[in-house]
Amino acid sequence: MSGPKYPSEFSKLGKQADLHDQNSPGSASSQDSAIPPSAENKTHKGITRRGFLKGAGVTAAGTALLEGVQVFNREAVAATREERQTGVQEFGPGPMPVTLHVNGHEQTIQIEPRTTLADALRVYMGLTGTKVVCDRGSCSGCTVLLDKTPVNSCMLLAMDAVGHRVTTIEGLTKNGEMHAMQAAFIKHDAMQCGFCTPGMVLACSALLEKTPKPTEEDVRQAISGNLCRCGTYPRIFAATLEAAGVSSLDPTRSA
Amino acid sequence: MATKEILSSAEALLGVAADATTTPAGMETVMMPVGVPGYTLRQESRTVPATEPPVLPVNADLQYIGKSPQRWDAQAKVSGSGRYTADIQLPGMLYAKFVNASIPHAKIISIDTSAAEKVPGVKGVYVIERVLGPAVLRNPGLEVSRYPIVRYAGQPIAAVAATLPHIAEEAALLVKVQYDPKPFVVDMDQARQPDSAQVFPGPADQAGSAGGGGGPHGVPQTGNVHGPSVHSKGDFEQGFKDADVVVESRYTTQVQTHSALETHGVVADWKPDLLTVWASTQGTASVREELAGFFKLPKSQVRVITEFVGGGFGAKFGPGNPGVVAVALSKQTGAPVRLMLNREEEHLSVGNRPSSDQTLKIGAKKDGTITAIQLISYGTAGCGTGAGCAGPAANLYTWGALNTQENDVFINAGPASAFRAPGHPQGVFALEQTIDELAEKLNMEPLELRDKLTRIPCVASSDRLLVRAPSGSPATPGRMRTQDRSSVAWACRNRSGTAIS
Repeated sequence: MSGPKYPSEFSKLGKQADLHDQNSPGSASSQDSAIPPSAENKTHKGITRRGFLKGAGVTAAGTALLEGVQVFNREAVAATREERQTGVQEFGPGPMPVTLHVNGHEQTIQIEPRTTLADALRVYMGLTGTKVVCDRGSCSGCTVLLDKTPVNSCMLLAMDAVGHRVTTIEGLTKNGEMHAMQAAFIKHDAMQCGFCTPGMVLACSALLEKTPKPTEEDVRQAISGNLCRCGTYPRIFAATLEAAGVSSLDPTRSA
Repeated sequence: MATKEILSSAEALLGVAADATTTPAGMETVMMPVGVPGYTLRQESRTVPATEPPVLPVNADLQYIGKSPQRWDAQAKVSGSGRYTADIQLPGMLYAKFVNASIPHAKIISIDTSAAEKVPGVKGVYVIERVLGPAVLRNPGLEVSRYPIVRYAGQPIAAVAATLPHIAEEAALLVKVQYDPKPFVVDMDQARQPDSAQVFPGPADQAGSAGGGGGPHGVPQTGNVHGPSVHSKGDFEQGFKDADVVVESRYTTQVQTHSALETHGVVADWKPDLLTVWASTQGTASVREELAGFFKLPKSQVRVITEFVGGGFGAKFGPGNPGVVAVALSKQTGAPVRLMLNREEEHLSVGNRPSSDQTLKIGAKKDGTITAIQLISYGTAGCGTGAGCAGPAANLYTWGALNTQENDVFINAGPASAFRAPGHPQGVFALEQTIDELAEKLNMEPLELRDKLTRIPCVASSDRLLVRAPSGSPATPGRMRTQDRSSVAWACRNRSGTAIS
């Protein structure tokens, strides 16, 4: 499988956000969703966070890091020269304009290419409903929807979200109307400290998009990566099943 | 008995006790319901201030009690609008990052912050003068050092504040710390050996927090072993001689970290007339008091705000190093400073539940009466104290004689902090399994034995355990059949962790 493809003029990408509609739904992960090529029909392999960090890590292993930054620049330039021949384009390391489509609006922010989607949303766009908990893809606290698929925004580069519709917890409420899943969470008091709640709500709402009549096992599966330390899981199962109009909860398991 | 009840009913009807002559001025004696409906509800005479509000009406007449009201902040939590400390963003706010010790035990020779200060976007660098958390030497003169001694890998040493998080992270890597490494020990069993590396050059003690924890002061210390802290009542040796049955087992439990989803951290905004701190804390008052003390401010000039907190579990009471350092950086830079720990720091430096290695011995008569309990425990709270776990052995059941000896073992790891009933999960883990073994030896049902030994006669242990019955059996009040109760106790036992006997 080939990596994601970007047009040569990256900053224009955001303006083509509607292009994602041509993608098949549910295939939105950064690895398997290709953005259609630009008008020039020039495609480039993108850089992954892992690849970028790997490069940075090699540099940091050098002596002093200030020197390391310069070394990195030299390496980056060299890599660009080398990769020109292979059709790969490098971005950064300096800030660049990136246009994201978030909660129905486009917004251009100046970020370094290494910026994660979680940081772009929280630090640069002020959307702090997305919580960063482990910052390493282990807890799903930072879940957002990329098109209709829940993803860990801490493990996704913001530039990998270009061309996709990003939905954060703030975007689930539309025109002042709560999403049915949010209302069900409130009704079942499916939260305690609330720090995992945005990720839970988004993961459960994505489940209902894909599986309108889920079983409890489906709900368990859908949030199996979402960690809650307060122990709200049984109420989340109940809330999700009620929002789906399913009430076949195992009574011995409910709270 | 019957007369008393009739009298009580009459008094209840009147609402006031018949004999009010002994009631002090401004007070009145009334009958009021006391206890748990369906179990222990009864009318009792109580003397209360005359201005006391009336006894609550029955639930049906109340707006909230007995109802399922909506959590007041539920909408903020499901919509992402609730602002936790991690979410606070103020104009001009700087992001701070700790520089943490890379080795577990060392004297710091020098700290060079010049390279970090030159990074564009860096607005301030602060070197920690007094680190909070580790136990403190009774004789501080045993160590002479310009900087705090490093006692564990991950101990904060300095911090950098910059305009963006990643700038602070990179600059923190540029702070050069020159160490004079010392021998270290990170394993409790090894630390108990006489030839082990020493975490402290002499006796050291650690205070608890507003949430509890901490350890005893002034107990003996031999090498890394801080203790024993001995509590003795009655003649336990005679108690074991008098016993028909004696059970003795060794139990170990591991260190646990709190792992609250929101890490420790604060946003501090130092202004000449008011210090405002947003803190991820369970105790705004204790954060205010400690910061006021640390920075020599009147309490009225420190304001601590916590609208939402993403879990604390006992570890979030004081400002800790993040709080003090963020305030110092805000004072230094004149800008608000946000210092939230990352997940790694959260596990290393802001508390844990100590481990335990307990040897518990219980002697009993044939009828189940406990003649003596002896608990000898070791546990490590890293470079702090607070590993005592004798509470349950002393408090849960009746005994003839008691002897507990609690020991803290220092190792080069982050200090413990209060964690949901400090000491009790460890203590109960050993005690309850030993009670089960005792019941087996006495050929008694485990719950029957607990009913006999409990100190809370109005709520028999069988009732308490019923609520925790495994799924499939409805949790209805009342006594279970003998066979069922026995299986519950044994099921609980089989689910437990490591037991070494």
